[in-house]
Amino acid sequence: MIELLNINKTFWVDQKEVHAVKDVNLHIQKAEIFGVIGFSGAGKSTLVRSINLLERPTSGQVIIDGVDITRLSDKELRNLRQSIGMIFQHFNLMPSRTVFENIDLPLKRTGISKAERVKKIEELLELVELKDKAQAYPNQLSGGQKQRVAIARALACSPKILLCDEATSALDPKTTNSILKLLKDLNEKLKLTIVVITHQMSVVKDICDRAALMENGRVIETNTVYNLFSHPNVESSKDFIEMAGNKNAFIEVLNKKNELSYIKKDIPIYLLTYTGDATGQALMSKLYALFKVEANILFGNIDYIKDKPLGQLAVQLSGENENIEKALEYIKEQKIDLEVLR
Amino acid sequence: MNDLISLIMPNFQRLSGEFYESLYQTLIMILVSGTIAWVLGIVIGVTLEVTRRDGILENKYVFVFFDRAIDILRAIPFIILMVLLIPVSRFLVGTGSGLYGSFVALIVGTVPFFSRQIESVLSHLDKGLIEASKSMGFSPFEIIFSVYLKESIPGITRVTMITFVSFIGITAIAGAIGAGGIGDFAIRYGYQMGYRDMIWLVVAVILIVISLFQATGKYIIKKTTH
Repeated sequence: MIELLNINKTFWVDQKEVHAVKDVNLHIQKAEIFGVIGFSGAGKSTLVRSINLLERPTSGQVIIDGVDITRLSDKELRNLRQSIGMIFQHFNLMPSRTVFENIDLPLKRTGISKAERVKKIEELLELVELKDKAQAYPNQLSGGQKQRVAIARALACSPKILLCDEATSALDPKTTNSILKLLKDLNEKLKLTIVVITHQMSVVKDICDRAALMENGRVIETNTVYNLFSHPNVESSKDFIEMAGNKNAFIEVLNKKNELSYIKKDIPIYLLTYTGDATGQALMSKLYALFKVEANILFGNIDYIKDKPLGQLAVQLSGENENIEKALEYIKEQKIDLEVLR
Repeated sequence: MNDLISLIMPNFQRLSGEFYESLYQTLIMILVSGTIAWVLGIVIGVTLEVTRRDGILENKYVFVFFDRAIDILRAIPFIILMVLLIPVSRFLVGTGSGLYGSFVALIVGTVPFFSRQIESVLSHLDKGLIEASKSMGFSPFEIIFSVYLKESIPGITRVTMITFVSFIGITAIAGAIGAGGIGDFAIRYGYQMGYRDMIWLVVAVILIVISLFQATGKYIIKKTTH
């Protein structure tokens, strides 16, 4: 669907060359929700803008449905852009126009009759659940409502692709969830290919099928979201993903207050990461039943990513030394990642 | 009524014909040169904004040309500019003096100031709106008309009001050196003949014209700001 081949983008800022995107290759499939995540300044925005050439890459090819769009004429490119909707962090609605007029803006240019446009706009407003706001002005709407209008506007010309540039970053968590749900529905109903760029790990976790992690202009890892969270390949992927969970909070406590009464000083703390069907509860009782090893749980977290559980437990084991060895062997056999925290 | 007017303005009855004539001339100056200057100012203001670096029709040469020309023209005091432009006016309108001879100078004296203000209004427009319209496939001309200008109506109205006041100022100066109008009337009767009542009349008329203009502007701003 969308192929980015060897994309590079350099800017000149104050006589200095800034390499915003470096050798990026991505293949985004039809009807998937693809995330691009990374810290601010990682080059995500520039990268996503190369998909509709709002930013023209310095080198590389952008291929959409087999066509290298970097070779299109200005006019052909403008026609193509009608089939790629885009929404933004700050919504970018026209403040002097009503909700209705904002959605009409891209439709007006297509030359279809007024009656058809009205019908289409009504359908779109229904889709984003804003039927009663047609005559409101953007400044009378809440952030979530503005983003819904922006989504309706982006979908007006029935695009195949929707680009979301930090679309939920200016919204509160509850509104974010409702917008994400809407995007997910659109993806399923309309078979819309959605590219989401965000620094919010939760967004990726909630709706993306696959994601690319960006750092300093490079894509350092592309993977299904579940694998990205459960088995990040690259060290910096791990750093980024750990920021999202609350394991770090536990490690901080561990480092600060060594004196917690229930943490024994002289024995190691293990971090177990288990995925899919393995569950922590059963494991703990197995360890006791098989090896008479008791596990003292210091930290636990279960995430559901695309409906699959991803669990983490920090434990200290007590029992016969020999049995603890056996227990650790057993844990590894269960395909549970084992890491020594301390 | 006539008695009252005679009491307040003893010279009015005698000079009313000339006063109406000069008021007419001023209104023609405002309508003709004001309208042309307004359109040209918007065209050049838009040109500056879209041809600047990273503009939607970036063009260094066009931008630098207008940018410099405006700086130079704005630096010349209007009264000197008028004299300087006499040959240009002769070439364009056939005369360098009188009512018609004032049009060129009034336009050249207003456009640089006005187009700078238009440029400033347009450059304050949220760049996200431009980006969004590009993403919808808008052409540069569609962006200019349906985003830059349409979304800036309150700002354009505001700077039109500001410019109008200084424009009235220069029509009076133009009058003083031969264009006629109420500026000329005020100089001849108010200054040279010392008729205080005629000065007050001119002041009152100018205040009324400006107030009407401001009121209309405020109404437009109110109606177009949401």
